Amino acid sequence: MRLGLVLAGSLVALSACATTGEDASPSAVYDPLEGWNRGVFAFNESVDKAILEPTAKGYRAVTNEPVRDGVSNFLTNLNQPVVFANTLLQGKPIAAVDTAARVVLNSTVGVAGIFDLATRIDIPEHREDFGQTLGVWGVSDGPYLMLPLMGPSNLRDLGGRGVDAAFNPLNYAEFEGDTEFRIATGVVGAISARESLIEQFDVLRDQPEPYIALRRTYTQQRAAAIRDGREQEDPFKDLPEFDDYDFGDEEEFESQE
Amino acid sequence: MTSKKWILSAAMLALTALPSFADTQTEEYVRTNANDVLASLNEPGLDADERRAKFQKYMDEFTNLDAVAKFVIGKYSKRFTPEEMDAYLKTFRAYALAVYEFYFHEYRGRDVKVTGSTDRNARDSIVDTEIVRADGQELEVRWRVLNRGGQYQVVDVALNADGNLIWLAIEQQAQFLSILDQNNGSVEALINKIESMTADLVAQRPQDVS
Repeated sequence: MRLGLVLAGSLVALSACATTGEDASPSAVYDPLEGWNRGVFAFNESVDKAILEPTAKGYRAVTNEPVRDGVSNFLTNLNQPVVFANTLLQGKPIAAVDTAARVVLNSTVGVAGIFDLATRIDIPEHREDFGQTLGVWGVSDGPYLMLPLMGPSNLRDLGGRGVDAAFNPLNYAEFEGDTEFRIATGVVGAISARESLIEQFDVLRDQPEPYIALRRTYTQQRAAAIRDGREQEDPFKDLPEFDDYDFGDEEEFESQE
Repeated sequence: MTSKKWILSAAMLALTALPSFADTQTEEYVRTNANDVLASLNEPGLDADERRAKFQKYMDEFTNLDAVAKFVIGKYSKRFTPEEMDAYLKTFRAYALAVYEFYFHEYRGRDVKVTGSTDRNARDSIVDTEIVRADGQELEVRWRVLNRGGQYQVVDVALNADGNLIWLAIEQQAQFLSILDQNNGSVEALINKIESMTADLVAQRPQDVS
């Protein structure tokens, strides 16, 4: 982790690669490592097409939705200590209580988290991680990063991943078969996550420039997650103007006014 | 009151009342036209080609496709030669109509409800709408409408994804500029890319449902 940060930091320092495409846009993404990131993106795409996508499609073919929901619920439940810690760090006591109540209920009556009974009785699920916590604390994204196999991120969120790993007791608890359990949940987690994204991947690959589309979507989604899904306060303030592009015969209209 | 004074005060009243008038008119513009567009995709009695022709006619009236086409290439809109621009506009128009037809298909015949609006200024408004799909799923759509001398035209559409407003033209601009930047501003590279995407969309077109 630390090595990763140092590496990322020195790459930032070394690189002066220009960000293409969206310099003029207020929602432009800072991507000084674009050349490197594009290489990783191409690598991820080939691994995905060769291994992950077929596996995810196979998983969808041999399971039904209740089974997949059960798997996803089980994995989500395992991650709740991380969510709980981050709700507290973000000063959200109600979300913390919701999260604790969900773990207790779903882990017991919900059979180790397979059944999400908490949602059925309207205890909402919260999705928090340390990258978002840093965002709430005012830390900016930093350079955009495409991580091998793990996909889009940025310096802030990459650091957040490391802290989240430390928040999860399952990552260092010692028990019979602990290593196998961690590997199995990691592999199943990757397949389950990829299965849930099958349609989104298709939409992304239909875009004119998938790398740019993913970079912008990731960055905007993270910003919205940091706001807990609330819209920006003045969402139309920074919209670009159309004056240079529209109508073309504006004088004609103005003379009519 | 002299007639001159009366005209002056009436004019002032009209001016102060202008923003709310603009709002109502813009909202009405979106409500009527968006409903017409979605209805055109669902007209029984027309075959697929007739329906498409009607849809395209409504889209041409409702939106300003040339403005959108120029916006999505940003700085390059001033760099293309007139011939290049003509070729690009033609290619973009076919692509945009295919995209809209593809994505609106799920909403064909559905009702567009206006839920509010915001005037950025007298010439630029956002109209908020809700469209309920046949499966009951609600979609929040915002329409950016420019008013140029009383003529309204839609130039961008935003979808709300978990609190994140995705403006389609802005997203397209980021991607088109990147393609152009990587190809030394070559209009041919962009046109080839757009044509291949249009061909994909046409190949994926939902089969005629009537």
